[in-house]
Amino acid sequence: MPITRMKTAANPYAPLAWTTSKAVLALEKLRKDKSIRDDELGALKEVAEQLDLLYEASQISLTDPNKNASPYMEPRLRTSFFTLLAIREKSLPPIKLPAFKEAGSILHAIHGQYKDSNNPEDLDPAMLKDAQDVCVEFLEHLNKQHPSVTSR
Amino acid sequence: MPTAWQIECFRDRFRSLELEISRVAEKDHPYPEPDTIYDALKEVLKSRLLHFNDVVENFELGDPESERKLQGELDTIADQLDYVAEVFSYADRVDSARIPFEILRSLSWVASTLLNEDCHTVVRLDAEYNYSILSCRREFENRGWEEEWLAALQKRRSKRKREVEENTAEQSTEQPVTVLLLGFPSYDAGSILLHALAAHELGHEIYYRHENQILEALDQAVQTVSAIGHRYHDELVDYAESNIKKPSGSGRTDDYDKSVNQVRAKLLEFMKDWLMEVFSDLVAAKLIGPAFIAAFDHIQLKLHKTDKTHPSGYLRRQIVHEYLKQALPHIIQDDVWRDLFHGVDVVNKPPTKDSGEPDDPLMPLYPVGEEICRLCLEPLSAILEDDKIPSPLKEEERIAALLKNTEEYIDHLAPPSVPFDVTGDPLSDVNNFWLLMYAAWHYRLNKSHFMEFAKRFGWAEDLGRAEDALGNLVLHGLESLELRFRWNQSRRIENGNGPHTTGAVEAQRS
Repeated sequence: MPITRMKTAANPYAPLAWTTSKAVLALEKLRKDKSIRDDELGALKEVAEQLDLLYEASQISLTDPNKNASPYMEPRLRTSFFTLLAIREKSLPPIKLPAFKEAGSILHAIHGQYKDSNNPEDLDPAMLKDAQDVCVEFLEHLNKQHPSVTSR
Repeated sequence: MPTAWQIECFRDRFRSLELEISRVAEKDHPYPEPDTIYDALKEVLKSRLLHFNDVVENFELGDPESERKLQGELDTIADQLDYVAEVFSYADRVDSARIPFEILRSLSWVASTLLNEDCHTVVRLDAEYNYSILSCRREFENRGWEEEWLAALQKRRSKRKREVEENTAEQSTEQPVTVLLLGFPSYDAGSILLHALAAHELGHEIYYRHENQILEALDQAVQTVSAIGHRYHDELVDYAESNIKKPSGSGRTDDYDKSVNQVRAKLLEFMKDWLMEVFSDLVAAKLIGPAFIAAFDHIQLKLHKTDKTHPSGYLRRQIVHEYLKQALPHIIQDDVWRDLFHGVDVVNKPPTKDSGEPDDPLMPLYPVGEEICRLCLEPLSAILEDDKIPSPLKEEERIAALLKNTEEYIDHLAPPSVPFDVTGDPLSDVNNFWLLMYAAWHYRLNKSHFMEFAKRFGWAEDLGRAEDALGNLVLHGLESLELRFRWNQSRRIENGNGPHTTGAVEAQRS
């Protein structure tokens, strides 16, 4: 970061948005019984892990006096905590967030099954659709995040 | 929803970006490092184009469900293309004839030793009045482009290897692992003394070594100011209450709890950037004392200015002053630096509405942020003390003698490098860079002495010219120190001893 403020800034959510867009495409290919590349399979795993972390981050309360709640316990969890915060800030109430926990489990299952069989036809179409719906919604949230160029 | 025309525009954007990067890459450069950046950007474009083609093939226009997914994909790709253009803009104009190329080798030498990374520096003139050092490796990693960066490095290495094989007289060397992009104000292209700010900028990279510890200190400080009984507790409560924009329907208490949660999270979020600046200031103070503040004053004229990425200049110098009082008291007691800290005792006054952007919603939190910075000074100082980089300014008598000797050289327009010992120990030798910069600023801020110098050579009416002359002497001094260091290292290799490393460097590497 420069010694004083600058007008431009990297979007911290861009790498996650990119991985999620790869996952959306991978799920579309699987739904069409097409095979996917290694990097696309990797994206499914990465997004699944991110959804787990987002669920965990959604449970953090900084105001709970009984817990020494800290988003700094683990760097990746901290990042997810602020991702979630950013998503909430850009959404209008009532805020309905994607079902991170369930979607994470489904994506883990898809990743595991495809890794073992390499055959898209073995996968449950309903599971693929559910996972893709959540990923599309999540991607829309991430694409709304852009750093302000005026206040920096 | 997307249309066939929009898809055609995407293809055009890919094509035009690729052509422009190739055009600039094919121009003659004074050094090869920007080629790594251009290659890496072309790799990013290649992988995004592959994805784009797959997207267009798999999602159909005309089907609402498919179009929604296609829109999400295209928005992401559009962002990626914007980021490529942004990073390319940093690496464009790196070959202006006004750039002081002579400083680059010295800066690369210093950065490589401090950061334990092969660093090569390239400089670009910035239209903004700012000074920045951007590690391309980190920038690419932050954007999720690490694979493309590594691919470009590999390509450069292979090319270099082929060239070396064709020219057997040349020793094979590894390509740099990172390229540091030094952004320098175009208006001050020739100002060498401004490079004292490199100490702060390299401090950002040192910050990442200790990030987790620093964030723990921040977390602790946020809990302290939020606790009942602390003088900022009530302000935070008021802010949380005013922050409830629209009732969610789940009750006032629940809305208030959520608001408090959000306020603390906001504090943690912007304070991360502030603490990065404060820690980098402390690194700079450890390396070069108050000299970097003098260079900072050339860049930032509004010292009360506060925003979500940078605390005010007043607060920053107050914290540096406090740190130096504890860590290097003999330095801060030197009268030469007194002017730089004028007004630090009045900064307890909270930032006013004129301090930031008029519509900055975080403004009420800035006084709390300032308190958190002060609370963090102690843990940050301890973290810095544990870092293996030694302060070149520790030995009071040696510094006094060095200042006296360098003054004599500068008085006679001789590059002031001879008084410095070059031992072959990387960390100790690289400290000469900072000591010389420190001595130069010390000379510059010694009003009567500098005026005498200016008068003696006929520059009394134009102190800017006298400063340029001082800068040129420093530049030659730095080049000489760097060459003497390399000479020493190559002599050791010739004698079969291998390059000299220090225990500290070994410890950092391990």
